[in-house]
Amino acid sequence: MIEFKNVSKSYENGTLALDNVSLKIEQGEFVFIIGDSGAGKSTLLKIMMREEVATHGTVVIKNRLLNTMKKRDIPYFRRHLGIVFQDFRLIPNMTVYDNVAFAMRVIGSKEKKISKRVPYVLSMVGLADKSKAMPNQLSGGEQQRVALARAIVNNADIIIADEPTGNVDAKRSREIVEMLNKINATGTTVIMVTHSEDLVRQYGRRVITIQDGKIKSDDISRAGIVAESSALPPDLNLSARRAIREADEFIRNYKPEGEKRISGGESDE
Amino acid sequence: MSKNTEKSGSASLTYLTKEGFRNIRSNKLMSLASIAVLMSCLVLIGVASLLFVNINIMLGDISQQNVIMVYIQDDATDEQIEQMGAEIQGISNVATSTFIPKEEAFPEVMESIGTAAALFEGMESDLLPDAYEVTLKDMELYDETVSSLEQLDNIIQLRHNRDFAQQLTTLRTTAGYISIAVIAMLLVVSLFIISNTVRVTMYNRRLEIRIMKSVGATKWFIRWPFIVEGIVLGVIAGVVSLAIVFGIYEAGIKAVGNMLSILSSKPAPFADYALNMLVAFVATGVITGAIGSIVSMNKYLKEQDYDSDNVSE
Repeated sequence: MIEFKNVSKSYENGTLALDNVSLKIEQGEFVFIIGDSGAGKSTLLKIMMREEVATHGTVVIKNRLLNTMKKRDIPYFRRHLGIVFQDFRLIPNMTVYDNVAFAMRVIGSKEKKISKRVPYVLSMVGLADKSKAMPNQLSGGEQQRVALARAIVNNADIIIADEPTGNVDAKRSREIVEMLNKINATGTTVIMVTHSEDLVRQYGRRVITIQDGKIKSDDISRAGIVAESSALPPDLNLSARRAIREADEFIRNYKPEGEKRISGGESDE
Repeated sequence: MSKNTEKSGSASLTYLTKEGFRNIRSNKLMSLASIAVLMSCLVLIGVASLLFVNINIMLGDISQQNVIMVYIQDDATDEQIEQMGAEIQGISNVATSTFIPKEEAFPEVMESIGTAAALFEGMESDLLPDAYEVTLKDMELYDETVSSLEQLDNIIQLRHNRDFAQQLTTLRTTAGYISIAVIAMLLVVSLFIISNTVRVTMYNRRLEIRIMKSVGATKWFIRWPFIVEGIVLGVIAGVVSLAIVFGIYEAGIKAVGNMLSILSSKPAPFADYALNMLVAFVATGVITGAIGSIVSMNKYLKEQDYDSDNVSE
């Protein structure tokens, strides 16, 4: 799904941000990318988002070769991605609802579809009652959840989260990772960049450590989701994978007298 | 994959236009600032243009008063006088030629000299010769026209004020150059101020542009609301500027109206220029608004641009 082959990236000022990086991330994986400041994490993400182009090597995402992608195809490629930034990047003069709806509007979705999908996504991130609030009325954690809702509202295949916990406290950080876990459980690939090794240790996920533009370690054995998803036939499409995962999760969480689970909202699929 | 990779053929123009209007409302302060900047520039240019139009008209009126008198010999027959009239009209630079018979010329002169007329009391009214009063179309061709008139038969002499005509022509040409230079300068300054305003607006909106890019909005989908916004602000600034220029012009005419009437010149009626000015103003507003938005947005829309704000490494 995502494949970097001998990728290097140097900037005009001579900085070598990535040095011969090779990695492969399968569909449905949850990967942490860690490393010190200036290690090359952001460059790696930018290349994934096609904001930058590798100087050497090839990058293939969703069977598309990013190196030679035409400029006019970039917006359509980006619709496969959901991006979450450290500084949330919410539009301050729009309500929570409009911030999330904005992502759908700018790719030309119909209002009818938007009015169904946005409330569902907001309820997924636990902000159903804040849809009319303005971003400055929300806490940091809530703002990041709005950003998360915006990233998943267009049914992205890959969520790229660039330090999403950088501006929130430890408790809220865990909440955000839990939410990313939940999104990942539906079959969406999640790539999360973070500084916090403590946070990473709490989850038994694959961790790629980057140092001086090189991959220092790649703990592929902990790619739990890959192991789990290998039990499913490889040619199964995304919707089917999601359905199986949701059913599986439902069975695992099922309590006869338990509270009602959130459902619906995927009517557009 | 769901429908989110479809080319956005369903991209609704209504939404984009609405979004343009919403942008204006939600960025009230910046919208007001943009309108104010554009308006100041347009008002300055408008007032300067009208000022130069009036100076030109005034100088034109004064030159028109600088007539050439063609005095006719007393023994010329009526036919010869008539033929002379036709010949004068035949000269290409002649605007009007009026025959003034000697009977009319004397009382007119008497009237113009006022009390001194008493000195001429009892004199014959045919003291002065018949004459043609000639006005010219283009004062720059003064000399050529005078030589053509001098070629005519049956004339006693020509009375003309070459120096005055030349001075007026020079003055008019100079005023023309000055007006072009001043308006051009104002245009350059305006473009500079307007482009800076647009740049500041775009800088304030780079977050929105970045979000749109990151969720996969196409370039034109991002541009369109900004273009609508530029056009709407341009139209508003154009219309309001016209109203302000009208106010300033009317007030100005009231203030200097008397002076103009002494020079027997009338100010240009605003209505004659209102439509042209409105078209020019709105066009300037729309073009600067739309092109300004497109040009200054390109910086944020460029792909592969290294986004230094976004480096968290």
